[in-house]
Amino acid sequence: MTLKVLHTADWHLGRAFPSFDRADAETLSRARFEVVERIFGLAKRHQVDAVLCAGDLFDEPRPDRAWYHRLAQILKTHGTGVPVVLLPGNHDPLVPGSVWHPDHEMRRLLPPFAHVVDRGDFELALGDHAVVLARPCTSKSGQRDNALALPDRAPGDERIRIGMAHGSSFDERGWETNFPIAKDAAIRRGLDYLAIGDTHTFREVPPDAEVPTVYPSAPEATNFGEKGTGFVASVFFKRHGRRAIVRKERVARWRWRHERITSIEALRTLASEELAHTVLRLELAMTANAAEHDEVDAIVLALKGNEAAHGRAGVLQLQLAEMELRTDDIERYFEGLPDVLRATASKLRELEQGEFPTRARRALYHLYRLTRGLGDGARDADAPGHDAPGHDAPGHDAPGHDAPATESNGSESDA
Amino acid sequence: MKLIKLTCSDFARIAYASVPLGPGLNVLYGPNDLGKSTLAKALRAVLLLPHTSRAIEAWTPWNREASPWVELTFRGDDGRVWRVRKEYARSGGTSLLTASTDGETFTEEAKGRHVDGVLRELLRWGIPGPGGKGSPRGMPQSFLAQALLGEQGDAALALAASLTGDADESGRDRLTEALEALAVDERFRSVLDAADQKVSLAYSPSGKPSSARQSPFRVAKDEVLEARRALEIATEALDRTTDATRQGSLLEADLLAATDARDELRRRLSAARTRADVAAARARAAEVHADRAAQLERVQAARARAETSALEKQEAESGATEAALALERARAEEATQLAHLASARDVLRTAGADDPQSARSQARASLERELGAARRARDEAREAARSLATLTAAREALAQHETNVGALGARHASEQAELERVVAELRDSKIALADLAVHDAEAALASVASDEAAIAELRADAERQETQATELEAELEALPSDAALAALASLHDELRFAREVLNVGLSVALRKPAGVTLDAQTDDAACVVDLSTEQVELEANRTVSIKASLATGEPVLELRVFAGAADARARAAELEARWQDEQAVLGGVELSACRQSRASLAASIETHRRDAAHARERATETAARLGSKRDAEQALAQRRAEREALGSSPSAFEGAQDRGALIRERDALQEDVAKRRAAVDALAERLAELAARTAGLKAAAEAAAHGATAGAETLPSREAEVRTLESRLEDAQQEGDRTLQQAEHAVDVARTKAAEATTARQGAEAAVEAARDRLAQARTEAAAAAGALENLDETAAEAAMQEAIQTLDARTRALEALPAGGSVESLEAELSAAEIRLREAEAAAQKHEGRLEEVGGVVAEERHRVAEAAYDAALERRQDVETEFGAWKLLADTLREAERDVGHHLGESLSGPVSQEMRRLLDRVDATTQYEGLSLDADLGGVGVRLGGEVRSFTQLSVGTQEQIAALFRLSIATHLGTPIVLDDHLTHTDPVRVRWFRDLLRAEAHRTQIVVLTCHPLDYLDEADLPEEGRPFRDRAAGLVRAVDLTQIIE
Repeated sequence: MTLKVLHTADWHLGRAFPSFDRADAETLSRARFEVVERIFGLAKRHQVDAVLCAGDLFDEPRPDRAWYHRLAQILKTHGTGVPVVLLPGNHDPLVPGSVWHPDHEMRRLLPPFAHVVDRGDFELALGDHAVVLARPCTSKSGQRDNALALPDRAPGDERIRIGMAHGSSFDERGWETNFPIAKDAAIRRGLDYLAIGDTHTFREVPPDAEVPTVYPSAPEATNFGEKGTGFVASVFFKRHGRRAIVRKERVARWRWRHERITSIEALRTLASEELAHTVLRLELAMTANAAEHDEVDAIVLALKGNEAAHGRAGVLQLQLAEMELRTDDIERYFEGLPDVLRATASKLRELEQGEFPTRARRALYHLYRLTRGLGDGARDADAPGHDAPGHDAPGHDAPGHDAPATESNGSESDA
Repeated sequence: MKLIKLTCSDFARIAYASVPLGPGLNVLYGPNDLGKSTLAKALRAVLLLPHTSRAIEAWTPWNREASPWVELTFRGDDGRVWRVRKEYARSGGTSLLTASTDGETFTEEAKGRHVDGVLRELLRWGIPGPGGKGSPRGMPQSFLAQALLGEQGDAALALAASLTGDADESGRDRLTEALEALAVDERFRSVLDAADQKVSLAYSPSGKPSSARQSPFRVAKDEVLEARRALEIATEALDRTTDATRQGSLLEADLLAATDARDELRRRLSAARTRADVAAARARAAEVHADRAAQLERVQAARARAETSALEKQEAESGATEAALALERARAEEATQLAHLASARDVLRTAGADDPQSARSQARASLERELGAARRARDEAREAARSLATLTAAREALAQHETNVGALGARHASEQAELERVVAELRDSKIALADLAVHDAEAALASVASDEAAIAELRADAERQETQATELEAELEALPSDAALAALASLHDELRFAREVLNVGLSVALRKPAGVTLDAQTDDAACVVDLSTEQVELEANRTVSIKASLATGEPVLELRVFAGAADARARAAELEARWQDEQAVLGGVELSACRQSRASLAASIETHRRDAAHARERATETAARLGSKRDAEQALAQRRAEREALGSSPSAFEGAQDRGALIRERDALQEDVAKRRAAVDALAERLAELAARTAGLKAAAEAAAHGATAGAETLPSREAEVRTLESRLEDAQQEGDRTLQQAEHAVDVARTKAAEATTARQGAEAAVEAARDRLAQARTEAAAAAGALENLDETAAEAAMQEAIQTLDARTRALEALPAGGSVESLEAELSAAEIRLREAEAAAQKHEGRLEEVGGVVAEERHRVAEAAYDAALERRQDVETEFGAWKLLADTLREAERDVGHHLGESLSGPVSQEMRRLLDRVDATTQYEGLSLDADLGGVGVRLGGEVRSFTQLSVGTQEQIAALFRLSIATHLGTPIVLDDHLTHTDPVRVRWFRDLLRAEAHRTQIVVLTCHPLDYLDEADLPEEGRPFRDRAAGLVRAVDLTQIIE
């Protein structure tokens, strides 16, 4: 009477990424569906007896039609017929009009093996020897402990009992509005495993407890700085009373990295890495002279890509507030040009002392590029307009300066 | 700019004239003094001279009483048709400037003194707006005014004029812009073109940031607006959540406080119950103690009784001994008397039988009597000796009795000491009670004070909330009213609708010859035209503007197409103006933001008000519970007085105490004291009684001892006496007879005495019997008392008593160790009140939880974070866009500035084309003279002509050549600026050949420049066939590009 289940949560399907470009935001939204496909692929390979999805599957209770159609399609295509339990979380609570509500169109699209936790006494027997008990969130916030709301083990009941709830914070003060779950809820309710969701980090709470209570993490991260994301929990049960074996399985494709780059060397190193599946927040905090700036632009363009060519970084978010052009040597690039252009450069240098120094520097840089036939040098974060992606930057003739090392802020913690 | 029609009335010598002008060459001809130059003056006046100027007086007709007026219709560079009308009157005059997009419907653009300001901005001829510092009183002058509308006059003068005399920079700027195209450096040109192209994406032609839909500023701004809207929504949700959470934490604090209060009361109740239990145990111990004390008392009473009984037994024994002694004495007496009787009888018998004998007998009898007496005395002495032994026993008994009395006295003393101790304890107990009362009264007073402070705090809080609400209301007042906002919103909607109505869509198809380049703009944005094909098709929403030019850069054609009905455009313009006016009320704030502010302020006010009401309610509740402070103070004073009365000894009790227990203890002690006093008094009485009796017994024993000793001392003498008498009796035997008679009598006497003695003896025997009975009884009693005493174990009783005292002490200490905290009953009442409060707080918290479920919670926080990040990103993008395009604009502006400063001055720009024409002109007449060109300074002042590498002054040229060069120069300026030019008899000194050449030049120029020639020699410019038919005012030839106007038909 062994039992194997896959436990996942926090898909956040339909999440918008308004800080990103439209195309990148779409890529990131799409990635959330792709990982769900991979999760069901894993379930098929492991031949699990059930897939438990512990809440926050949609980012909001009333997602766009396209999103839930897509999920229903994935379940139909990739589901193996074993039960899939779908639990409403605090992002997608079971409220009237919710995608999980029995009256919602989504429910007619779901295959018969998908079970939505849409009532307060949800129980699903997995054969004769195991049962899943679950309680849904019915609002975006609440002080109820949905794990403690599960029924006690009846005397003589020897089945494997698996609880499901969505909530956070164990007895922590100040978090009591986010569906608190007591640390010992699994033991108090006679469970063999408590499948929970909410926090995007994989962890057992507390570790090595008598009965495992597990956050499986968000299968794809939703933001920079989230640690320990990208997993599902594969859980193996021998019988009631024996501690279940929990294995952490990576399913994420994307890594979210925030890199603060303070030197051109560090940027070159970063650019040489494999970044195709990296969501890269590139914070350029450096001063560069025109030639170096040119190289930075070329690298950024290569990372970002344009209509013609894919960028080397999967998704790139640029932060340029601290990127500054060093102009002290720029006039030497204008030597030999007509007087009027050199006069323009001098005037712009003077304007650097004025009200809009950044603007003046940028203008100088445009002039630099135009006079060197490097195109119009547009470096707009939204619409890269470089016309020379393969341009070999003349970095070698730039006056050297000491380059501080890269400060890496957000490397992934791995399994 | 193209002039369409000039009309004037009562202007100098012209009574009325209305000249329709064609777009190309207009030759206005007529004889001298008809008023040709007056027409030129009228044109200058209407364009440049304010109606308030006195300069007009020179042109006021001298022969009529009328005010001159001039009206000019022209098409502006913006495509609109403008109409300016000025009336010059001595009494004031008027100006009116109207404009039309369709040439039919005119709307007012400016009137009165504003007209010239608007006109000069349109012209940009280097004439500042009127009213400024140093503005001329007469006809305003500037380089361009001179060049374009110059009067007949000295050609050298015209050539010497330059921009340096201009009052403002608009003429120079306009020329600079127009001549930029002539900059020859290709690298500069390409850089400037690239920069301009970027600038044109983001800025309108007037240099303002473009608000067109595709403008990056607009895109960035829209993004920021969108992000801000999203952020506002998220903030609102978050505020709701925060508010709910804040209220939740308030309620939770209430709940916690209520729970704490309940728990505290429970704890106090439990402590009070424990104390009550301990007090009960102590009371039980006190009872046991009382029992034990009673028991001990009983034992001690029994012992006293036993001792009394023993004394009584000893008394009875002494009584019995006394009685026995008395009986002995009585018997002895009886025996004596009987012996007397028998002797008397013997005497008698002796005396009766033999007198002598009788006398002898008598003597013998007497001797016998004496012997008897002696014997008796001896016996008595013997008896006394015997009773001395008895007396010793009695004395021992007495000593024992005294010992007992002494023990009783000691017990009395110890009881007395115990009594004093208990009395002291009683006093301590009373002091503790008084201290406790004082403490309670102080606590009550402190509680009253703290409640008052709490009330004050709550009221202050309510005040603060109220003040904040009032401040916010003031803020709310300051915002525009809802009605105003609604009106604005509806105006804005109307405006948007009106704009949308203009978006009807345009499709322009044209065919262009090869070599012609097109510069097209659709909807104010540059669009790329495929130059490789002949067919060009353009699509736009509202406007299409096409400029065609030759490869040389020479403009060929300019086409503008506007979409939408005239009234719709006018409507849009009107609404735009109204919107600009009316949105001022918002003070620069977005309409939606303004509405949001109002809503959020109203919500905040409500929240503050609610909080204030809540605080006040709680203050009232607390006040209702609060007793009077004066009562508490009076109670405290009274308690302190009571405590003072008990003396200053410190209390053995600290802090709050259990008053009930103390009272019970005091009562028990008082009772104890009373009981002990009674017992001590009884003991004292008993002791006195026993002492009296002891004294009696002692006296009796002393007396008895004295007698017994005396008796015992006489014994040897008595025995000697007996022996003497016995011998004498022998002697007296003989004499008995003689004393017979005496003897008989003596018998009688003796008989009586014997009888008496017998009676006495019998009495004594009875007394002995009684004494024996009494003794037996005393012994029985003593035995019983001793037995009773034996049954009552005094030691055990005392041990039990000690144990009871210890138990009682332990209980008392335990009780003292427990803090007092009111009675169980009052605490139970308080607890049930606290539980009710707790349930209320729970209900409130539960109700609130329902509300909490409606708000976003952590989700709202997360969404808010995301929205904030998106907003920041949008702001950053906007900043970036502003920097980027600002940089492009800055670059373009700086390029131009640098060009003006160091690159090509205007003279060089313009001298090229002029020189080219000049060479062609001069070559015609003098092919040998190699004029290389015209030399102009940076301000377009004429320097001279270049000839053979050096510059020659104009004065070295002929007057005719000078006027030709001046005309060429002016024409060149007009062509480059796209403005009309008025040439008033400019070739008076020119020979026919050059006139002919000039005529060809003007006709060729007509396709791009509007030229108005005033001449009295029409055939210098026209063919016969060009002239109008007789009686017709004008005729158009060359597809309308050449118009001949017969002024005699026009000027009245």
